[in-house]
Amino acid sequence: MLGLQKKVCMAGAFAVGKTSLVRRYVESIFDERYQTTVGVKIDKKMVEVDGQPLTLVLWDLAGEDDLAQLRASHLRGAAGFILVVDGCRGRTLETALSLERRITHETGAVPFVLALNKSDLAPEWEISDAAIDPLLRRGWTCTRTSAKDGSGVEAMFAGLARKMLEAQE
Amino acid sequence: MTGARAAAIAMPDELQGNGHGSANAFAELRSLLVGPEREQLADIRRRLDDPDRLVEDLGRVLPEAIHLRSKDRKLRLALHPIVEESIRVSVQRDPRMLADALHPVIGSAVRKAVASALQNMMLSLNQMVEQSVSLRSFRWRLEAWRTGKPFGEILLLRSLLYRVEQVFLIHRKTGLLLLHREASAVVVKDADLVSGMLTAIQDFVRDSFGAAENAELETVQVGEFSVWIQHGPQATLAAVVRGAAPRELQQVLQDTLWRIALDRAADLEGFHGDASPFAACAADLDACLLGKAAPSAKQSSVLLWMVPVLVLLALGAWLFFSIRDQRRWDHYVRDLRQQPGIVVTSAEKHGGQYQVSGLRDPLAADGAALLALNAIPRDRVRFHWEPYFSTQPQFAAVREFETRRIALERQALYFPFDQSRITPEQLTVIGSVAAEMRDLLRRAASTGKTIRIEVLGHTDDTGAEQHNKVLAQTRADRVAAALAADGVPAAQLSSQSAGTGEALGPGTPEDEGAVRRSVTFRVVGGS
Repeated sequence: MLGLQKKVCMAGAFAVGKTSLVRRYVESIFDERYQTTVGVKIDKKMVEVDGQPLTLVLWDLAGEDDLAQLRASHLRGAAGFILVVDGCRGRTLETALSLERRITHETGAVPFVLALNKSDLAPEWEISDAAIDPLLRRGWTCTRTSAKDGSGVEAMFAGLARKMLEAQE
Repeated sequence: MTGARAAAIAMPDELQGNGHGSANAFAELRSLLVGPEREQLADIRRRLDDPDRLVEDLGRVLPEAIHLRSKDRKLRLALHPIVEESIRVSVQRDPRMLADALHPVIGSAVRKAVASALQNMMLSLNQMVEQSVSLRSFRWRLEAWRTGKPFGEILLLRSLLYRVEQVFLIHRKTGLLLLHREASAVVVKDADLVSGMLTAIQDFVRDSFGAAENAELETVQVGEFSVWIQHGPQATLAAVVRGAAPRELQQVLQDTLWRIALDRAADLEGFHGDASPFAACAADLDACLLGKAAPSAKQSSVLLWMVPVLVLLALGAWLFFSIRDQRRWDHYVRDLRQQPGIVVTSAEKHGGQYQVSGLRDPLAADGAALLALNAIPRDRVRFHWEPYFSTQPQFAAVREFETRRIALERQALYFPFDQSRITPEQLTVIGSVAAEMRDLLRRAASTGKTIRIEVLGHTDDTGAEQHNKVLAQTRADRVAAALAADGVPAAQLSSQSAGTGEALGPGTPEDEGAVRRSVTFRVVGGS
């Protein structure tokens, strides 16, 4: 039986590790080539919030750059989204900020989280707390994640799930 | 407030006794205390009493009020009949206005519907022509009649080799799976992921090829699989089909989607990821899993079974009679072939009529007589016999006997005028005739026949009849006696007068009278 499901979009600049996050921690049946052809790959992540199972249907959108524009149609009906940033590349945060504006423009105000990925590469970390602070003050949820050692990944999904359930109520 | 006003009215009566001066003072006091309020009150009363003012005031706030309460169900319910009636009146007054307003919407919808209907019609036309005349179609009509299903449905079930393996009901906006049903023994990958990807692919196709917003991807063909997609405003129905499904499937999908859209309008409208209300549509989706073996008919009346039983009985009877007839015929032909003097070259059946061709000795048995023995009606058989002489001994013997009989009957003994005495020359002839007779009697005996030989006396036609009769008898008697004397058994001889002018001997002698004065022979019996 199908439980509660939510459509969640994942977006971020190229090579921020979106696909790696997805590859190891979610269920997937589609090849990564779908992203380059169709522009999106669908995966799912099962989470549990206070004992309630929830299926996050993840729309892993193609990496954002000047050429590949986000398709508005892919964002339609999303109940939440994940912005992935490469902690070792400061510019990807700027991309994430612009993505947030564009996604919110399409979906309206929906819950989202900012995943600061590659937390395992601490020595090369580029994004300072000072850059994050203004976002936290605006009420953003920012989580450090590592696709490599898995830290923060589950918490990130669970956090988003909880926010979405709260938003629904 | 009411109390205050009562006090205000009571006070003057109380003060009246103190004189007019105090009354004026009171009025003044009153105007000082509540003067502005009284003016405001009067103003408000005027505004309320003046319908023009009231309308103006209400009109100023009405749009805002309606906007404020636009989410209110009560307001919607209240306005609903008014709006409905207004539209009705508007259409009655000038239908063109509404038509113009709706044209962009309806025009496009109608065009699409007509195009789709035409396409369906063209595609099904060939199929229909083919199916309306074939034996198969007759069987299907019989099945439709027997099971009470529409012919179209039977057609769908039987006409093409295909199977709807999976059906997805997808929330259109989010691409989330509302319900998924699969045919038995179909391996399904994560249906919720497929549902999302299917939606993404549709977006991709629409975005990539710049199709209009209302243009939709309707089929995806991958090898032997195809995905048939029906779109509604809130939901999408996708069927995964193996093989070539007939166009009617599209109609089935469309009807199902419409029904679900109607039944589940509220659930679709307020969908927030909880698909559980759509579990109730399972039966609708299962009905789309066509192409599998149809369930056997549950109800059947005795009458419906009578038909095949009667047909079977009739078939059985026909089979029995035709086998019996065939056996009789075979038996007859075998008998016929065994008949001496008959050579059957062909014995065939042409449309209930038997034909026998061959050779037949005139002495052979009659083929027709044998028919009765085998209970075959005479009029069902036609014979084509070519005559021939069989060399079989029994026929040779019969033929030899015949030859000799004819030879004997050609013999004659001639007498002079009014004479009955046998001359010595005649005795020689009688000797050879007696030998022929003995031979003939012997041949007859050897074939089991009994014959008798009549010795016939003749005279010419001169003289008295009585005399001639006696003369003829005497000639016959004397010859018979001479033959008996020559070894012909008397028991098998008889003599009589044949009278005048009776059978003559052969030949055309010059003296007819001489020929008539004779004795001839006739073989009786044994033919």
